[in-house]
Amino acid sequence: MLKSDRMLKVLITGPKTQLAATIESLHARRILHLIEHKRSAELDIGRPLEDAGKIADILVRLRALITALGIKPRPINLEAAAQVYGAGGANLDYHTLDSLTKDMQERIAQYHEQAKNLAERVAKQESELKFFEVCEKLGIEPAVFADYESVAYFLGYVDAAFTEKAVKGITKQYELTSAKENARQIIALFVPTKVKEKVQQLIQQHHFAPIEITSEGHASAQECRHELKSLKVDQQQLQEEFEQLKQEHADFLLHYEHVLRQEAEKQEVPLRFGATDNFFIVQGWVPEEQIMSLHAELRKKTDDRIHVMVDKPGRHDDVPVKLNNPKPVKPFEFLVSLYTLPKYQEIDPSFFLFLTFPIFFGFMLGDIGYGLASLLIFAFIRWKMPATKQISNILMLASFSSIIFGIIFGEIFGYEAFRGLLSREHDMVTIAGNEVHLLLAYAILFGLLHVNLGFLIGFYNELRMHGLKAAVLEKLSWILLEFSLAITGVAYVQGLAAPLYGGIALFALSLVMIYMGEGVKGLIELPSIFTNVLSYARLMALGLASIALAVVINDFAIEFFHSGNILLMMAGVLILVVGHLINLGLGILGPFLHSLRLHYVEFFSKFYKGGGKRFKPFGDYEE
Amino acid sequence: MAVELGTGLVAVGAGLAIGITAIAAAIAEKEIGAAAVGAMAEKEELFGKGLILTVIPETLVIFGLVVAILIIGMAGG
Repeated sequence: MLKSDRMLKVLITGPKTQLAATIESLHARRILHLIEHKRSAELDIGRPLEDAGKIADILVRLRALITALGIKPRPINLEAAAQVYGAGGANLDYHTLDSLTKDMQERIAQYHEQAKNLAERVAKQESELKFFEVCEKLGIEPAVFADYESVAYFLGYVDAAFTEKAVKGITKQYELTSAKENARQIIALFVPTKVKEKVQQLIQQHHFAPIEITSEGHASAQECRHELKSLKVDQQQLQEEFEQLKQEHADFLLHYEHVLRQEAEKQEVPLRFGATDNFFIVQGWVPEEQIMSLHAELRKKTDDRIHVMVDKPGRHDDVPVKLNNPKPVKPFEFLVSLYTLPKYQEIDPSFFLFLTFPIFFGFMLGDIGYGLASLLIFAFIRWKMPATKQISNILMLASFSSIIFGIIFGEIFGYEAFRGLLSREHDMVTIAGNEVHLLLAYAILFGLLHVNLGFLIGFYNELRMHGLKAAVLEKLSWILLEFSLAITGVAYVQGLAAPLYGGIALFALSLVMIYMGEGVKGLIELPSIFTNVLSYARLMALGLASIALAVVINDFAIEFFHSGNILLMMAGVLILVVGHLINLGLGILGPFLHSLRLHYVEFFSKFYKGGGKRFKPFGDYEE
Repeated sequence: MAVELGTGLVAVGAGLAIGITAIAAAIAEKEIGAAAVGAMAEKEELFGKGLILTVIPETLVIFGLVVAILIIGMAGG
């Protein structure tokens, strides 16, 4: 529980004839974390298996098809694929796959070609229709726009400022027809060819936008519309065919993309092995408890023709970490990995997080009402969104702790319903002449315990990794420092001489030890012991802030209830609901982050280094 | 709601102790937080380190809180 799974280093060697069989069983078992072999003068890396190139080709094509068809990743329905490809559709060989995917690619290419042609025809029809419509509007026969030797013409839009006068200034021989459309006007202007350029300059100044004179051989606008309609139907049909193609093949494509991705990894994994002309060498980490079965299986699959060597991890090995916690603690692994994974030799702090995280959360949001509400909310979220299971589990546990603390404090939605063991608002205690909340004293006490727990775990870690001397100098020294300060403080207040000098002597000793253990950095860090412990005052502060808000909401709403007016009373209910929802939101966010922070910063800094790498066995995929 | 001037001043003092330290912490955390997020964008594993560095100035508010409590305790006691 406090340790990650024990790992063993294995070295598998065998003749190349057994390479495929070895890869196959390693991939199926998913328990070997590969150590990548780096090419060296003595030992080259292996070459991919023979099908690697072929598979990569098909895989690329499959992915291109998936993108071209716009298929989104989703759970695969193999039965649907079997309907299209027959019963054996799930186990096709590479050759069949190769031709199938090529065919499909061709079909899609054809589809695109057809779609493009159709789109072009539609565009032409639309432009012809436009031409007909303009002619209709201007009352001109479309046939007059023919090729002339001595007459040039312009058909298009100009701005509203364009007038007939301007044309008159250029030539007397002209024929102008115009019609208004929105803020512009459409013109058809016929002029002699010799003044064509001058006229063109003129209309250019009026932002002339020509209308294309297109002829697709239709006689009228009516005919155009008819043709256009039938083209649109064709387009629709093509689109439907495409959709059908996508529906039919989506499962098939996704399935084989998945299968071939794994296959490709198997084919290419020899690149991570060491190899000579005839032999291969695989190095990796295997969980200790699975080594026997792996060994037995490998021997069986290869007719006992490979050699497996097993070794314990050395002190400097970078062993992958596979956390191992009982089910209730599992979700807290997520919080640990969010920070950093522990190193192989280190204690896995998930269990401590499991113990104290909910306590701190509950201490801050200690309220039966809020606890129940957030318990229900996160149960609902967990049910609706299974992906958030881990974080929801953590928060449900934390909410449960809130309810317990709510009972201790006797609070329901900020209202002190009964006298609990401790009243957060009213219980005071006198410390060194100052009257402070009893809650503050408990918060600091929690801090003291928590920080020292951290030092003790740190002591254990150091003991395992660097021996007793380092452990005493680096961790025990800090506990000694706290003791010496406590003794000195009490002796000073009580006026006792002997313990006072003893305390000061211990203080000096602890300083020397810290200096020896951590150097000057340790001495600079001395005040951190105070700030770390005082930091736990937030346990009280967040709690009080949450109550204060709740009390304000309650008092405010009660005013409305006393008014006797039904409408105002309904407004009071609204204030209660909205107010408490907001306060609950803050009450979950704040305590969650601050509880986490107390662990990450104050607690972890006493013992936790982290930086371990995750155990990722060959054959394991992140979907 | 007749509050004596002295009591009022104590409350103001406590408020200032929290408020000013909170502003100080906020300014410090702003700079560190921005840098931490930048670092995280480059390398996601830095989340833990980034968080720790970001919350270091929070100590200031904690001290402010303690001072505020002491001020109120001294005057109220």
